Amino acid sequence: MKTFLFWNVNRKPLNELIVTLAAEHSVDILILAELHEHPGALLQNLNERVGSEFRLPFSLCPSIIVLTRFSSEFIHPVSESDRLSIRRLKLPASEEILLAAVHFPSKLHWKESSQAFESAELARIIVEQEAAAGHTRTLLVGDLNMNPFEVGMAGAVGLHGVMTRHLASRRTRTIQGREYPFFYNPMWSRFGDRASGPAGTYYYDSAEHVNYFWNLFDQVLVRPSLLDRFSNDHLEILTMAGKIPLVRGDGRIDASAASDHLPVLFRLDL
Amino acid sequence: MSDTPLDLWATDLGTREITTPLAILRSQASLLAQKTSGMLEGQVETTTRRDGSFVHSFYVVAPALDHYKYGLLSIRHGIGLYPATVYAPNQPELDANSEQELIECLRSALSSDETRRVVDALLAQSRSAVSA
Repeated sequence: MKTFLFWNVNRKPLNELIVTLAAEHSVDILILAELHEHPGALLQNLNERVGSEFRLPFSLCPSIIVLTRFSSEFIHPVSESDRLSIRRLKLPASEEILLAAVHFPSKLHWKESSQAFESAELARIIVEQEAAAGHTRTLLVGDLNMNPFEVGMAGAVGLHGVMTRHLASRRTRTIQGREYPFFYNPMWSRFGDRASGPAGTYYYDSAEHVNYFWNLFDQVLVRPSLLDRFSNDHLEILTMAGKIPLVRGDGRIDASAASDHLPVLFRLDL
Repeated sequence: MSDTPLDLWATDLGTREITTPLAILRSQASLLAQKTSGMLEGQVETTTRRDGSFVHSFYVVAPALDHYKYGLLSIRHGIGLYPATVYAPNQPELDANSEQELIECLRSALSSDETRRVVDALLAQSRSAVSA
């Protein structure tokens, strides 16, 4: 079982908290968006505090940083851009997976329609890399800057992320003669106060008629071929880093203490 | 009555030369291979959206690095070619209303520090891989 942690750290100097989380949860693959500085200092802090050797594998993607607790030779990028990094991860004695990490443009800068188009492009790139790899064992993680119900996330031309394992197990859906592969998006079940943990990963309050307050921009999605290796019990939106709360007394995210996003922790049987 | 059919079309119809965004990108793709002695290649992938628009994505490909691809920018336009929207790193989406405006947008993106960072790094990695 390998432990992944994704966190958009909002360009804040949060190395101490990142290291605390990595140690507390024995993180194997640390994926960060909006890191405030070159990851060299973080790498050093990790290796001093966590007690095992983290690496910074080669990548040209400036907005996604991936640090691994195993040798860089087991993970290498195959397709990247300024906001996307797709890597082949092949650990000894285990099957290769594709790890796609993304930080989508914010709604502050992109219209919703542009995000939907970008989702379609992301979906196309993932399918292309799956064809090149010869399998569909793909994990997608990141700050999508969209909620699971938005067109870019749920639409067939986009990421096609459905809310139940049962739906995802159909693997594909055919529309107008074209076949679209599913992702399973477990984040659907994390909305609201019936879910364990906070009601989302990002809180935004605005004086508009439609206001969701809590959003689930930070997500992990898996292809159906990884369903058996992914347990919802091992998916968690974190509200503490050691003894430091990441949320305030009223449950809202404490952006002054840490990031305005909450970290997402999950495990995959690799 | 004249036998010549009534011709209401513009006299210069079909004679104007229009360079499509795709052709502009492809020419830059060819130039990248020339400029890097084939160490890097430009690749343009075109997809058609269901709303009838076209998206051309420009990639830098490093053959020596297992064909690693880096997406530099993309252009989206409708059947009328312009306006074309350019999506490039570290920039808001830009609308180019003419061929000349598109060329200027692309010049800015392809000569940017971000593009140099990517191309320089891939060239260095590719040369190391070839000489190893």
